[in-house]
Amino acid sequence: MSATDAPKMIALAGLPNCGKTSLFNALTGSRQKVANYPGVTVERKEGAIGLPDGRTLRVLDLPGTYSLDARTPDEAITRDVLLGKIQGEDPPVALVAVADATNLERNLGLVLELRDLNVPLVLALNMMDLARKRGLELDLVRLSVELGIPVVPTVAVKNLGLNELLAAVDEALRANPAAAPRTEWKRSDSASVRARFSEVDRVLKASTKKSGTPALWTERLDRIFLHPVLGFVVLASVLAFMFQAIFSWASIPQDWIEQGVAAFGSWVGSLLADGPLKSLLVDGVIAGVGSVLVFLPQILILFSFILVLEDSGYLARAAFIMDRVMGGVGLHGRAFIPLLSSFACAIPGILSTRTIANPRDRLATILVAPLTTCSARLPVYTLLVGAFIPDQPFFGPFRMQGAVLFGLYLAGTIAPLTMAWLFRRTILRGPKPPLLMELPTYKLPSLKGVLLGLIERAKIFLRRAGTVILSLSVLVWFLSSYPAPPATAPGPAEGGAPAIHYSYAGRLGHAVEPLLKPLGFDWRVGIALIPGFAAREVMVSALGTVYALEGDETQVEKALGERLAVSWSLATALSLIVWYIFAPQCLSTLAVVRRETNTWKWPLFLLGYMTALAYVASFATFHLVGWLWGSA
Amino acid sequence: MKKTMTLGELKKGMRARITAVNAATDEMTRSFLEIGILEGSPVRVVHQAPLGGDPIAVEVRGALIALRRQEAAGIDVELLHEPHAEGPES
Amino acid sequence: MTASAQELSVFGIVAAILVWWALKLTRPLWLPSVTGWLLRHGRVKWAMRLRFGKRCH
Repeated sequence: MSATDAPKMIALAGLPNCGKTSLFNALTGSRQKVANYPGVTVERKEGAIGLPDGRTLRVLDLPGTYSLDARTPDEAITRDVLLGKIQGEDPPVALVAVADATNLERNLGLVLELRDLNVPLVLALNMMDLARKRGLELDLVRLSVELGIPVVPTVAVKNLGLNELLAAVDEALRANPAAAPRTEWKRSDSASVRARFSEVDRVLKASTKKSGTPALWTERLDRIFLHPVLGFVVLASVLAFMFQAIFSWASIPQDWIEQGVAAFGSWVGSLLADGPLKSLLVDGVIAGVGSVLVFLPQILILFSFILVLEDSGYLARAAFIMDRVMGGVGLHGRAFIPLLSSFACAIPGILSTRTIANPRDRLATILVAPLTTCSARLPVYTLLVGAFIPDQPFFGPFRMQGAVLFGLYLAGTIAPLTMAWLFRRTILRGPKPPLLMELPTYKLPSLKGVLLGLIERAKIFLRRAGTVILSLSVLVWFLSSYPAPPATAPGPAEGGAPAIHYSYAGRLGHAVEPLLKPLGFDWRVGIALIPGFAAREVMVSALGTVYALEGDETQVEKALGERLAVSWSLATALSLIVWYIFAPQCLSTLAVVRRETNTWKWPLFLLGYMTALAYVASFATFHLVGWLWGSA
Repeated sequence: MKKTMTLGELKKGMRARITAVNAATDEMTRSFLEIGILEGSPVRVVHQAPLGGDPIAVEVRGALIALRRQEAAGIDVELLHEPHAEGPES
Repeated sequence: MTASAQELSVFGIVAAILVWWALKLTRPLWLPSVTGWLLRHGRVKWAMRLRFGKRCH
């Protein structure tokens, strides 16, 4: 493949909230690929455009940045890509600077910086329709002359101006066939930044025939959303609605998935004779992966909400309101969003900490995110609360079981905040990170953008389920099934121990029992905790296996609940619940923490401190409840 | 009448013009400049957060920027005019 | 599939998984030597693929 035939790569750069991503989506449609930059954890979004003459153009969507002076890991990537400093990656041959036409006085600053790079550059004036509606009249020719680069008005969300943009890019590439040597980039000092903005003002003054009036709706809406009292009410309502929706809307798809998995398991089982492979596939792989797939609806629903709220601009307001609380424990206001995401699953929550500039702040958020009550804890919570908490009225319209569940969620909110506070005071000490955040104008979220974002999340989740969870399910199944009980041992029906007692997992469970006895756990719980350490969701089916129960998941759950209610004391049940609040029972989370922090130190620390917390809390609960209720 | 104050001292609704940007660190100063908080720019305090009026949201160079009063203390401004009858609770 | 054939497949699968995990966890240790070997034997494309994934041309 000769150099001239290989598809050329261009990049889109611009301020955050300038509509760059909408432009990217409009240009590339679904021909997008998301990966990672080597060595870092920033997302790399690349797409492909088919040009009219048949050639393909590769497009890179760079993270939004206010200037090449990077502050966050995201912005550093933009700078490094543009300067060609990324290993294994050629710098783009041309750039499209995307600017929000309704706010040129700020957006043009970056354009000037990009111009100084000496790379073929085209300016896309996005959201041109909004600007015109607000009365802005620009002399585009004059603007182009003043800036020295071609200027193309676009409306990304309506797919307008795209062909003209591509033509301009093509033109710019033809005019500069060989890559001109990149000018050495130096960090700007305050004086040059000031000079840059003076130049922006000068250019705008020369090219603006009539300025637009500012957007009124944003301020009107903000009067409610940021109202001292109403603002809180709105935020609380939005969050309550979101949580309610996650549970109620997800339940039907969850049932479908459960049934689908069970049916698939039966079908595969019917293909094979009884034997170890059949058990591996049906009880190990399908059951294991299935128990994780069940969470996909909840995760997708939560993400839809977050993507819609982010796209509309409301999420920034939420971070603004929560900044006092976050700042109180030493975190940035933006840390609110990863913690919110963690209510579905800590993994995407941890991934979204990439927008936090301060490394200590980011690390603190990463370390406490797993304490949030994630969806995977729910099966155990519902099992134990259902079996041990009486279904009685509690206070007004609220019932006890619901109240306890709410309490668990509350614990899952207070715990991360408290630990963050503790960390920021001890090992991650540092000045409170400054808040400097733009509150973008409100806009209607783009359905296409949300869908594309969701598909991406789903792919990541499924890929993880397919690899990590699958392999772990197999290993766990293996440990639980081998060695098999000797032929002479009495079966469970005859009062003997369940088969799992004889396996490696069983031996581990017995070995660990002395450690668990102070918490009120016996070897059976010990066994269930082993697969439970890999993934929380697996705990219920593991308990089912240990108590040698058969049947599909709901049957097992009901039967298990009744069985536990008889076999366990209240103290043990509550102790296990408390253990579950804190224990780091998710290998995938540890893996993600390792990737995001680039070291084994932090995931091990996470494992250590959370296990210690779980142990202490569980111990305290068991003995306290035992003392208060007098049960053994 | 021209009064020199810092952005951190302004109340909701007040308008001013930025006269100097001198944050605690040079890095912070540059962040301010890059986001559009520059000498000569007019600024208006549009909102303040529900809990205790901090952080604040100011309109500068066509955008709405949120920052804490503590950091805003590094930005000197001169009041353009006193708004009338803005109650203390708004 | 006979029971013993099943047994064999099970052990094979488990062994493969363990090997895969071992490789994944020790990647920084063996990657340079393997890429070096690939480059020396002219398999540039494979070396790049191994190091960077499927993005490079």
